[in-house]
Amino acid sequence: MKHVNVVVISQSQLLVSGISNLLDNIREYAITVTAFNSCAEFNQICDIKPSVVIVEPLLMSHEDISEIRGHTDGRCRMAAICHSVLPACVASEYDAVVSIYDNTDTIINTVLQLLQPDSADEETKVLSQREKEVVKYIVKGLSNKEIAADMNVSVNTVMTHRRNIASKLQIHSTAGLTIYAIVSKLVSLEEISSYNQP
Amino acid sequence: MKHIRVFTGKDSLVDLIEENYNLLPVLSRFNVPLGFQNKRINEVCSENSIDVDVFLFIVNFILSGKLDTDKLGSVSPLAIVDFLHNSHDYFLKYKFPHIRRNLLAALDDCHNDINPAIISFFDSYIEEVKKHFSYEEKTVFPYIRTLMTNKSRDYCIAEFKRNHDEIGEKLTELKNIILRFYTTSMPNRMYDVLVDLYNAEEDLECHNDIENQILIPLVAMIEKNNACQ
Repeated sequence: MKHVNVVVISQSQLLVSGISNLLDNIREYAITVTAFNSCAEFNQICDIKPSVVIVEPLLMSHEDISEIRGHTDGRCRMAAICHSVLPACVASEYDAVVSIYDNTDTIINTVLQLLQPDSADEETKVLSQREKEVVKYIVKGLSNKEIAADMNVSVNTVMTHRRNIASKLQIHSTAGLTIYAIVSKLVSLEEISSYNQP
Repeated sequence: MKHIRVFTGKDSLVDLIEENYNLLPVLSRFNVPLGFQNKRINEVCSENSIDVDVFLFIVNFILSGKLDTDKLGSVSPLAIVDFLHNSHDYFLKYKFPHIRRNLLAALDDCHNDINPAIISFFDSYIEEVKKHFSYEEKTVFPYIRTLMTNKSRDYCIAEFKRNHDEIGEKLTELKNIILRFYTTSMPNRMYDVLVDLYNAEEDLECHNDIENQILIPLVAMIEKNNACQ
């Protein structure tokens, strides 16, 4: 059974216990929940390599969200805990919203959706033009920030592209993408040999 | 769905293998030699100084995916550690070199652009596995051995639980890359490599499950008991 890590960032012990208990009901994965009071222990959070982070939006800044997505190669899904209503500009930064008034089944389904994004509707498994460009940048060794600057988009957009690429190709590592890029003639060996990892 | 049989010491070892031949590599991790005739599991274990309770516990867990939590307390952690240590040897000294040799022989010249990248991808995966296993051999297993003699150490199994990564992911990626993108005029060798990768992937998942669902809870129980004394 697949083992996944879920991080909960909240100042409420009651909330953390509640979420842990609910997630125990999920049979498809072996879930380990780790709780934090804030984003201060950022490194520890990233070391855990969470598949899902469930967080109180007030504890996260826009930069925090980008950082976490960046440090997990866009693979980490983020859900906001909602007590009443969240402004659209806040909710849109997250992959899902979990209301404290949602029932058990709804919350479980939300988390399951975050853990298996591939089961969501996929129009096509072929990469779009923008996605192919991002692949080229990645195998040339550029960071998300550098890619965003070159393409004139936000880092969040780059990370969304990376998530979609990983989901369509089922390839997550740079080394794997390199093989894909050469075999699909997106780049030539010469282009990347100067950026090769030791 | 096929009803999973639970094996006891009175069953014959041959029957066990007939039930699921994927248990064959597991035999070597218990140091059970081939040529066991029609002997019962009890006999084979006692002849080879193997703890039959641990053998049955692990073998039944692998077959059914379920464990008898009541029996967990009576399983010897040292025997599990020895089993896991032998598993590490199996992967690093036999299985991965075997896959690497077959992978090299299966690569097609028409792909000389990506062949080196594939080998280096596989090699970097092996390095990751070596690190993962080495942490267990150098930190976790010695800790468990001293725990059993009641000497305290600056470590606890919860730390291992927190750091315990999945090690099958890159292997899955390699398998996907070959399946989806590697064209070759001699596919049969590559099919064999893929089957080996699928088997290794499952085997490693099972290895991880034994550590997560048997070793860690068992050692946590012992730590708790030690603390209460």
